[in-house]
Amino acid sequence: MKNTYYITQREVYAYFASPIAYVIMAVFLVFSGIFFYSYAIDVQEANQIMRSWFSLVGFFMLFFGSIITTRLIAEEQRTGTLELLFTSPVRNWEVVLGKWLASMALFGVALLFTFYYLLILIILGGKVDLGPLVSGYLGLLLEAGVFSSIGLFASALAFNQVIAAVLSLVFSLILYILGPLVVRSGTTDWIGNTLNFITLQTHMQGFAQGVLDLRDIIFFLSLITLFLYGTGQSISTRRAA
Amino acid sequence: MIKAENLTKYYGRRKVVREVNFEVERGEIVGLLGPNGAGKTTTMRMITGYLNANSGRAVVAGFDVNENPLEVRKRIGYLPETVPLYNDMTVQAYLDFTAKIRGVPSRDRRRRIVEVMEMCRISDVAGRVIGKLSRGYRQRVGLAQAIVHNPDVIILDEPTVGLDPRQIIEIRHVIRNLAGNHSMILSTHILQEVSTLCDRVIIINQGRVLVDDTLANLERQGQESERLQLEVRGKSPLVLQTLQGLPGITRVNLQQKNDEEPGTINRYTVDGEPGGDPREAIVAALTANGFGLLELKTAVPTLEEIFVKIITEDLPIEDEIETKSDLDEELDEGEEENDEELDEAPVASENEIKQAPSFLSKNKDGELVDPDSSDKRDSDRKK
Repeated sequence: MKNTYYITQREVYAYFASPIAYVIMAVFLVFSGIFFYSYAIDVQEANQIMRSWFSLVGFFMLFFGSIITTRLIAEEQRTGTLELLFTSPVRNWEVVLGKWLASMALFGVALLFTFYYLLILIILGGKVDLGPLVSGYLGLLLEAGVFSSIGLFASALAFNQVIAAVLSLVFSLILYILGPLVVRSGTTDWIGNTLNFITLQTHMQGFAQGVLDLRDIIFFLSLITLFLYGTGQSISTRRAA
Repeated sequence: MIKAENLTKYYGRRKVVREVNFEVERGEIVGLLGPNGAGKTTTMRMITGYLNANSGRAVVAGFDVNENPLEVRKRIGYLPETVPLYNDMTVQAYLDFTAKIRGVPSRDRRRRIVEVMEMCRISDVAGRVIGKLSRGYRQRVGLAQAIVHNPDVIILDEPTVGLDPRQIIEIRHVIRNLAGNHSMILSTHILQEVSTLCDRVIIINQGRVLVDDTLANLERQGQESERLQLEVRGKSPLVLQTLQGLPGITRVNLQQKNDEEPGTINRYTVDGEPGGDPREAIVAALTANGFGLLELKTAVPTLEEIFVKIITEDLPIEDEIETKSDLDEELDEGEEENDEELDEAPVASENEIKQAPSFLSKNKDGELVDPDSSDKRDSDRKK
């Protein structure tokens, strides 16, 4: 577990030692700021503003997540440092988890900056309820977690940054809009239901609306676990080959 | 300390390492020698546990690499061929990270990092970003990470490749200072390195161990007869006649013929009977006949000559195709390990092998080497 922390520490260091973190966070904040602004001038009710903002930013996380994670394994493969990690007394899952946590840390920092919008709302006299706020941010973090784990998985599969980015974007997008994409609305057969169920969008709405559902939380956590496990397996398979 | 038992590795359907067996004792430095693509890196990777062997096993410090990978990795310091550096980190931060994941306890960490930076002579760049360092420094930072946890076993894959002569000497110096407490495997294709650093040599070609012997033994085997080099003033036919008439001499060769001016100087090689020492007789005979003896030295075949000979005599392996699943092959293709694939390993045909002595027949002094004696040595070597 200590190793996981060391890996996270190094990855966070790497994010902030290069322009990556700053550029990506700036882009993220510019867009989320524009979203906020466009809602804030139209809508009067503060909670309503945040609700709309949460669901749009949640979708935006998809791109953010893909971009910041694709280098995590592909880059190390390219430079040969993967050989260092895997000849050190570190377990595969410690590496994978450490890297995923580093991307989560970056998300965390980016989301911290968005508290600024809240501050504006409150200063301007808006009344924001705590419940929906907590569930909204929790939802964003969970979504970020899913997209990062997909990105990490793609990075381990492709071992090439560009291919990994494309893979993870396509995969995340499909997972995000799967239900609406292939199922006609109103369909209730089991295929339709299943596809709708595994669609990310379905589960994200609840968080944005301020409805905390344990099933949604478990759904996201299992997706994260699944992809992180896949990442670890993909790495071990390669080494055994 | 290190034991390889029948290590075998396939890349797709190609068998790149074939039942490799060897042992390295505590405190021993062993040179792993072989042409590019011989399987050195793959063998090392299997010992470190980076790659899993298809069959056979590697044991390090009593732990099986497959069964106890973490215990093994704790005890190994490994410098891969592509030095695994994080270019965005400073030297100090990098060593701190590697010390952490190698499990150096926090109270020793700082002291240990200072120590290895001094050993590897990188203290002056401690605060610099690795990406901006010169190749020599990078290589030494790589070496520092391999020893930061004071491992029992150190494995270095071509530690001096791509360095300039001065940097090579510095790296060798560092490596030599490490000897004694650590068992070390060092792969290289620079022979000089082996002779300056290693106690024992393992020559690998086409994935097999051809030779596993001490350096002294290897050199002794390479020495087929007592050979002398002479530089003599005087007409060559007369000199040859004189030398050939001496007892205990089997062959005399004239190297550069230059008889135009009186008092010309020629070079000769003289093969004596094994065990005999005809030097005094030669000197006496030459001076008695009024020739000027300018130089007399014993010619020992260099390690390089021995190596080239062993490698060229190694017959190509019939490509026994043993099927492996296609899945494995697909996985391999993605790997950027082309340097280690058996690309241009000396896959010579029978004809080429027969011609090999002609390639060998002139050493750097241009003297002729008897191709026939190779068979005898070949059988010696294989024991």
